[in-house]
Amino acid sequence: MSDDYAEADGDAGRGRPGRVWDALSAVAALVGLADAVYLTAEHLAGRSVLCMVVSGCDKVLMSDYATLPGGYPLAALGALAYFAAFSLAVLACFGYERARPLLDLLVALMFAATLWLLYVQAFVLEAFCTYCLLSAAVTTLLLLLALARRLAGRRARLQ
Amino acid sequence: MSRKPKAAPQPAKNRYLPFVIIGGVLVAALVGALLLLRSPDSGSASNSPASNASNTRAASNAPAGPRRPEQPGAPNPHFRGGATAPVTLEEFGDFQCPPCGRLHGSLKKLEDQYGDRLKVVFRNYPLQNMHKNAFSAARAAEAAGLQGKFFQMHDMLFEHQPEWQDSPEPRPIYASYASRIGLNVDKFKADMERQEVADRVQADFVRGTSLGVSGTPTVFLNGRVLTADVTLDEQKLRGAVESAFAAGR
Repeated sequence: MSDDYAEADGDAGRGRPGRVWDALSAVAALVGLADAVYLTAEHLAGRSVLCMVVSGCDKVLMSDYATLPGGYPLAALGALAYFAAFSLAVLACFGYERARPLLDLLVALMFAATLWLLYVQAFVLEAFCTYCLLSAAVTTLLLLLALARRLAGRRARLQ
Repeated sequence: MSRKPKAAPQPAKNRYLPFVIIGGVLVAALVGALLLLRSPDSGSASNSPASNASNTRAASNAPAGPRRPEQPGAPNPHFRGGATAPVTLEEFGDFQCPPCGRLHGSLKKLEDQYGDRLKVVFRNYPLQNMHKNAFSAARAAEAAGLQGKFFQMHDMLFEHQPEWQDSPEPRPIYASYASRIGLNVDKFKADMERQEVADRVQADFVRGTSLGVSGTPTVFLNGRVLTADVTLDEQKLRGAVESAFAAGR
């Protein structure tokens, strides 16, 4: 553990500005986690969710695409991913350097999954679910934060 | 790529703090999921006394606050099976709710299996804030009921849910069902708009609310509410009905 641990208040790439991006990523991941936990619980309880703004929540959440092989809700996998992202962002925020590339890799995978799920909603099911759109927004935000952190780090190194 | 210099050993508080935060969020997420799963919305509660039966939810799980006394619901409720059957299932359902559609399949099998020994009552509980066509579908079923074909329309609505649930104007679809089940379509259309029909739906809804119902489907077995995991699992539901028969012997 100590091998990975570096001073958090150092240069811009991993110092204070980097910590800000990591902290924002942690907060965004928390929002995604809450969203995914809610969807998982509602799926397991077999309930309809309160659908706001759009009207296709049931169609999306009761579709085959919302369930993993074995009957597990896809939202549970999302909750695991958001929890992992939150954990890595917190560790990065506290100076664990190896957490950042792992966080970036995880966010890239989550974003790819998000693009696939948006495609399924738009062109296969032709219905959208509010909570899935919120999750897509959070994942996109996580990707933008990762890109912004990398950009800030690169600029700091050039100065 | 050169390795960045490591910092001096950190104070123990800082080293463990991230893991404390992560652990705290994990616990909060698990507790939150558990609370959501057990929330009253998953099937609500009955006014009946708390029961030790494992497949019923005690009244103590009911939403807090004053509750109206049990309301009778629409007179002459729609039911299948025997009028004096020893076991009664009373469903509060929403025609646009997908889990209600799944329950419909299970109930049909139970009705076929037990015949007149089981009475299955359907009460309307349209969740209008979630399902835009739920109330009109309930009116369609009640309008069919005025011609003696409530359950024929009930079955059509559940079995063809995807056809009408997202329709911006489902009434022509309901009319096509009315035609298929042999109703006088003009009368059906007129009846759908009658206040009496809306009042029946509303009366059932009020009864459900008075019993603590807040989500669908909610099923009462001989007056005791079943939990969502029993309601939505055909085997568990059959087991609960069998237990009720056994208790009545």
